[in-house]
Amino acid sequence: MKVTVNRNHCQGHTMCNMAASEVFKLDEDGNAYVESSEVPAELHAKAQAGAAACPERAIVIEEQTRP
Amino acid sequence: MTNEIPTRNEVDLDIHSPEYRDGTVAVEAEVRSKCPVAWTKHYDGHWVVTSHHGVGAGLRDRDRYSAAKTLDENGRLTGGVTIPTAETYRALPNESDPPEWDHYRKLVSRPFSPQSVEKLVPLIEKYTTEVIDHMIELGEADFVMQVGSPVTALITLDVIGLPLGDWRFYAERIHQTFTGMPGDGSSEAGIPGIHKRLSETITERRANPGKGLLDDLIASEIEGEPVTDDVIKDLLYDILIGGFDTTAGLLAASLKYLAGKTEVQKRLLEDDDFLRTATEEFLRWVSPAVGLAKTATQDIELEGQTIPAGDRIWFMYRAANWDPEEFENPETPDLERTPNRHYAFGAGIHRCLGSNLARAVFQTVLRQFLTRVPDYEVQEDQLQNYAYAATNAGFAYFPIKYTPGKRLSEHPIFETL
Repeated sequence: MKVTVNRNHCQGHTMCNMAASEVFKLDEDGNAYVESSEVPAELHAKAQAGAAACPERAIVIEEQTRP
Repeated sequence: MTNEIPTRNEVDLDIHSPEYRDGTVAVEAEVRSKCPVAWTKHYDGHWVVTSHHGVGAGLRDRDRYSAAKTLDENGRLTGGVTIPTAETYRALPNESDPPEWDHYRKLVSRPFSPQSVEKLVPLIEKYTTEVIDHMIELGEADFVMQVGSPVTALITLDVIGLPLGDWRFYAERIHQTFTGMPGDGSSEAGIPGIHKRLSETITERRANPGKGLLDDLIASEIEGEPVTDDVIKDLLYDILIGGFDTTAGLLAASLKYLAGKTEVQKRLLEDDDFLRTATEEFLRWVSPAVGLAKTATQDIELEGQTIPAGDRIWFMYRAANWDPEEFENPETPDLERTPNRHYAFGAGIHRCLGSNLARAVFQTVLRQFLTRVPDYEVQEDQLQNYAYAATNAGFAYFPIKYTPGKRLSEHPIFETL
């Protein structure tokens, strides 16, 4: 699973961080970022919850199909 | 007159009428069920947007909607975030667009970031304890002016660096802007006093610098030019008007819901995750900021409706937060609701500057109040909602009764509040 935060769209609601602080970190202005876009399997559900919580639709999740 | 009259759905909604003030969510539901984007003839005509999808799409679109308040060809203020346009002042950065907005927002955002607010929590705790001390021995109080408003006011004035002793001066006048009716003078009466006091304090601080956001603003520049006193005043006014009574209203409405629900209260005090989701649900359900306006800068299609350039649009945050298309059983608080993509703080670039502080104040006051005043009863027959109900869902008066308790502060800041 690949997760990206569109930093142009993020407005610092911090909702993703509340839902999944392991995946979504906050910078000093409170805007979200991911340390690594690759999310381990055990955090997939949380990453999805974080994306669903975003009022700006700023988080994109790409499901990767296994080879 | 243009030759072409575009088709549009019309509703007869006067956002400042007593019918809307009393009907609130029922009126909004009726408008939304007819059309998510509708025209109303009141206040020279404007659009009302009630769907979650429509409000979100509009608020996120920074290029085609303007929040700016500007002087028209006759020298009158036009645009801005209120309908009708509030005269005599601009609230900044709220009533500005990029690139101007970028400068203003940057000047004021840092003290309200999550990291800054986390550092403020001990201070919020201290002010909350002190404020509750001043009412706890009485057995009855007005929650708005004796708890919610003073805590929010004190922490906000502290961050800005304004004299704490001025809290009541500012709080009473801001309270008046929402308890009074817009247009008949009763709402606007307190505003000149706020601006005068702010200007005086700014002048004084240029001579004798202190420590706070105000002093940072005095020392700051926009594109190499010092920030003017007028801009500083408008920036500070926006913070005061945006924070005080919205947070107090959120607290009061949440306490009204929680009165007598001892099991829920207990869980809020013991379970931080529950308190977190409950905070978001109270924000959605109460929606303290009910609606704000923008202006179309070009012809826009929103939810299938064409909005001509120049038209005013009223985005109804609470209506969006009660849209059954997005929220199942929106009228019933579900304190574990997930996801909860509410627009209580708006969305897009004008998202509420103080959202992190509001959450921290809400959670701190709720915890301390439920711990120290557990048997409070709301005097429901005496509750008074704001008259300016189109913008703020708070209470003009929220009387409670409770068993008197003991003071906790050993070194109170104020002898009387």
